[in-house]
Amino acid sequence: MKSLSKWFTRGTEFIAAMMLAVIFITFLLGIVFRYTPFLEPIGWSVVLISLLWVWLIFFGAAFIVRETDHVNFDVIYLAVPRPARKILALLTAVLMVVAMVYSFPAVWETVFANRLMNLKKIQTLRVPVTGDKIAIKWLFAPFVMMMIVLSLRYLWRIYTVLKYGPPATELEAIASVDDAKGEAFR
Amino acid sequence: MSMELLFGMIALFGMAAIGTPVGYAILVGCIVYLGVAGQDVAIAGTTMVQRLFDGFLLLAVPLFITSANIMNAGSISDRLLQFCIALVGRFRGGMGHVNVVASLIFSGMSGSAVADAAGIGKIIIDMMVKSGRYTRGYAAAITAATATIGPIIPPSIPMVLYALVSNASIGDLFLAGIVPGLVMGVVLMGMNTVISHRRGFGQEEAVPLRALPKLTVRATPALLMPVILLGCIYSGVTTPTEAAAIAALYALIIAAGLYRAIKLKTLYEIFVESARASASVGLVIGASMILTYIVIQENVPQTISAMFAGADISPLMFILLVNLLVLLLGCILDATVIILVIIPLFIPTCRELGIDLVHFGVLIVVNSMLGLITPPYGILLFVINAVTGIPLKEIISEIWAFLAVLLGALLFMILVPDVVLWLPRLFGYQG
Repeated sequence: MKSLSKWFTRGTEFIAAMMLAVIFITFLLGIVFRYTPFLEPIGWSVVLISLLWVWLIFFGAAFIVRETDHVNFDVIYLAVPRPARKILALLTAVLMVVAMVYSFPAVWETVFANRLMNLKKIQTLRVPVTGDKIAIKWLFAPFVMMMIVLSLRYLWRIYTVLKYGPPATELEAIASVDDAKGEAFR
Repeated sequence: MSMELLFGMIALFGMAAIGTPVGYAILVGCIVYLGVAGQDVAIAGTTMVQRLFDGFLLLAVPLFITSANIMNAGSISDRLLQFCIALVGRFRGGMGHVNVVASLIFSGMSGSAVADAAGIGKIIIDMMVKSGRYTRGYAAAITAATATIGPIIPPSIPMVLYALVSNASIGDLFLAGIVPGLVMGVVLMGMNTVISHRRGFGQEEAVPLRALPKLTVRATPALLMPVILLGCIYSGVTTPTEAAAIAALYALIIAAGLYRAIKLKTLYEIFVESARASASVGLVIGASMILTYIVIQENVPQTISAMFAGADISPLMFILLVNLLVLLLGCILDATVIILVIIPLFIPTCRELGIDLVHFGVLIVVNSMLGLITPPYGILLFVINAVTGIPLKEIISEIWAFLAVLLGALLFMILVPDVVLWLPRLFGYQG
């Protein structure tokens, strides 16, 4: 079980890193193709990059952004004693699950039941090189995926907080992560 | 204020206050707003996706994050430090000056204050403390203060975000940041000199001047980063976003090729960490965009604009008031949130009053960077505390003098717009 989750983490990290790498390389290709004689400028680079950027954010938020990596305002959270922290952590998790579940049917219907047509002008998405059309729902799908994964993650959090108490604070985590990272990075 | 907006704001601030990630808190606040208003709650998600997809300029953010991580990973910092020590280490309070100059140079490569503080900042703090001439609180405080220069000198992520909400040109904003960044460096070095003399900090052994040319040559490739970035933008060879990709490529070439400081495994780790950071920042950016959508639907910026128009306020007074507000908010809010959520409220009023949006933008970015070192919620203080273990209390007791001179520099930039606008005008900015 433990090694399964480790491989899962590695896999998702790999996918996210590759998305970023492809964004980077596509940018460079776009420039190269524009300035190399005899090569036509590539039109698909902007669409591909934007699509990957949206995927990177929501896939990343769902799978590889740890709770401590988020931008958050933790003055109050850090100032209160541990029992109160437990209540705040539970409150966050419960509210998140409620909000995700509450809005899920509407989002699902919009994305997968063709209500996206009501949206104002979105560029047609096409597969690079071949030029086949990509259904617009695949631009929005990662958001739906994030909603599902977040609901599950926060449900799991409710369970762990109830069982083990509130997680380590951000600074404790930064300190330990930095030690580990310091090794790898220097 | 409408009922639905009130409920939405209560949900947003309530959840953010108890420590929910800001991006999620905004998302939930918007869902509550739409729900209470009886609108389609799916709008929150679709707006977020659509705006992120359309905001092509934003792609500069993950690219700058990547190049910052590449720069911080290699041994580039060592080379630059040797150069800085040779340059300014000979004066009293030498390592303090080295700290400032290193930040000036590093800021030209990374564009992220937190990355600067955690990367090169940690190295300098260790050196300062080991030399035995400085207290650890002083070393940490001056490092935090100098790291605020990072996002003022291009490349700069906060400036990209400001360009997005204000439609000001990113190239002009980048150019406009250079002189203010140098001004901040000068006032910090001044303060360091004063304190070093008063407390009698010892002097370092001076590096012989004849070693300087060689060290300069070794540091030159790294020093060229801002030149290349601005060159790409201003020559029209690339778009600003593409220039960010060139910057990352350049970072990679000098780190891996020239300095041979990065292995393939490290590079992979850099991409994982950059992807993680990009996703977390992108989430806040996307969520802020839904909030902007709602705020515009509720006519909030127009209401504010009408309020100021009725009050017959002078542009200078308005700038001072907004800066005061940002300074106060900076004590408790993240710079990203201030620029993306709070600042759009004031942009229409700026236009109305004829305030230059490039000048305004630089002031706001400088100001929100000061927020990174203002207690109680100064993220740079926390980061340094986390990576060095120096107690927050010691850092905070030493930070005030530096905060004061930086505030002076901000006031100077407010009163003398030419400090900010001179350089962009030289390159043809009409404003």
